[in-house]
Amino acid sequence: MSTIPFGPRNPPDDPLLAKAGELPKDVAPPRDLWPAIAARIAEGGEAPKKQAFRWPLALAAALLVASVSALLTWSLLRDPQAAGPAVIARAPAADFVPVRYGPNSGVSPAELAARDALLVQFRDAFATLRPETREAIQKNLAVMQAAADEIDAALAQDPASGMLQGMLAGTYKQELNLYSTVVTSRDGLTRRT
Amino acid sequence: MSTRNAWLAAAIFAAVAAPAAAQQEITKRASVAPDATVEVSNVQGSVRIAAWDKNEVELVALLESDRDELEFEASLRMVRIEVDRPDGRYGRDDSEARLTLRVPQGARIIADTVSADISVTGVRGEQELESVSGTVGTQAYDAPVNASSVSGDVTVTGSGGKAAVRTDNVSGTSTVTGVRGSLEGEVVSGEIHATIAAADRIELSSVSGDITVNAELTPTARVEMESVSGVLTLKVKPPVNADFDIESFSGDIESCFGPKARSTSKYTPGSELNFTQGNGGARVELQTLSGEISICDR
Repeated sequence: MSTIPFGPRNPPDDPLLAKAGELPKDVAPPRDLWPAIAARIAEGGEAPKKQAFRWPLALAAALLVASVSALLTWSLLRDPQAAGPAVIARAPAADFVPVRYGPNSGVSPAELAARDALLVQFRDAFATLRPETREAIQKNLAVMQAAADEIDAALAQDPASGMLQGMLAGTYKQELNLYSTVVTSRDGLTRRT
Repeated sequence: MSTRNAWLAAAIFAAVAAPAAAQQEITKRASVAPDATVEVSNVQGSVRIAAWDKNEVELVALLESDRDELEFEASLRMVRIEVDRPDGRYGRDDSEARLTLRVPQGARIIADTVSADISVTGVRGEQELESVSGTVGTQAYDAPVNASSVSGDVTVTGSGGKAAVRTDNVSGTSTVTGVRGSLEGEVVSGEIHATIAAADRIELSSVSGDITVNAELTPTARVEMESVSGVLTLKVKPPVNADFDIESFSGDIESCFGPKARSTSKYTPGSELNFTQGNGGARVELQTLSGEISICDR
């Protein structure tokens, strides 16, 4: 899992962020604006008279709202992420934790390297999935982790057990299958043909 | 009409009119060989494929977003359909692409989706159906069927043909019924429920999910079921003529026929059960780490 160092102990490398950090916390207004505002309110006096309904104005307002709304809807449909707050749009997807295999598992460095190569592609595909799908994947990686830990503990008692070694290999295979399924489905036919 | 009503009417008009303008409905047709390969890829929405008695592929695509583009390439042997969003950005956009296809009965189907559901009916050719979170449902005849979904359910309904069926799930449930021949399947936390007639080969595994199989075994059948912590339940249709090799590291073994399970070691909680029922012949191997194992003939 990658993390972005930030905070008092990790000053940002970005010079723009560094300059932002140097800005004063409080900014006093150049002058007291309230007396002038209060005077303007007092000048308002009585409530304005209710005006008669005017069709041309209502029609123009309706067309204006329709045009603006249609334009806004069109822009949302074309680029929904751009319309959202920048912080939300750029928020990283919740990450996942690959299965860690214990000392008795016998999973080789070459096998882990093969998995890590697949993880590079999986990480990109994972970030684009729906939240509920990401959650299901996270939960099942935790299930596989619990199984790997359980098998590892059993292998500590019975290192020669072919059954346990087979189960460990099966768990490793299931993990790779999960990554592979997401990557191939996300990429569609472009990778398969 | 008051000013307020005029504004309200305008807002409703804008909300209704703009999305409607973005929707696209596209129909494509192509003449193909009876056993042509049809490849379909979609991200969100649905893929519905039904067989018909024409050597022709027909696609009706309903694209809710005008940012989606439909690719349709056809030759006599191959039709390739893909819904693509060139900017690749879906984000919180739930707009769907719904693809409805009619294909020759003997077509070979390859379908790939992310969250779109896949359903196939009446197709007798080989099928490879894969989704991330969509459901997958199909019928099996005599040709191989591979159906998988990470979190969606997978349902394969047999028609009495001798198909080789494979299902893969992570958290979804696989349900296979009415299949003859062979079944292979893997699941992590989801479940597998299967009913198989004249089974030649059954090979199923899970991490924590339960597996339940009702099977009629051929004299040379080979059954392998394995789980780390899930429950394995095998019900064999009598008469049972099989060699059983059952082992669990720490789970219980229950059998309604044959001898009782015995401990494998005085130092570990494991137990095993090896015996021949009837004339033997079929071979049944069941293994768990901590999950319970149950076999019965009723």
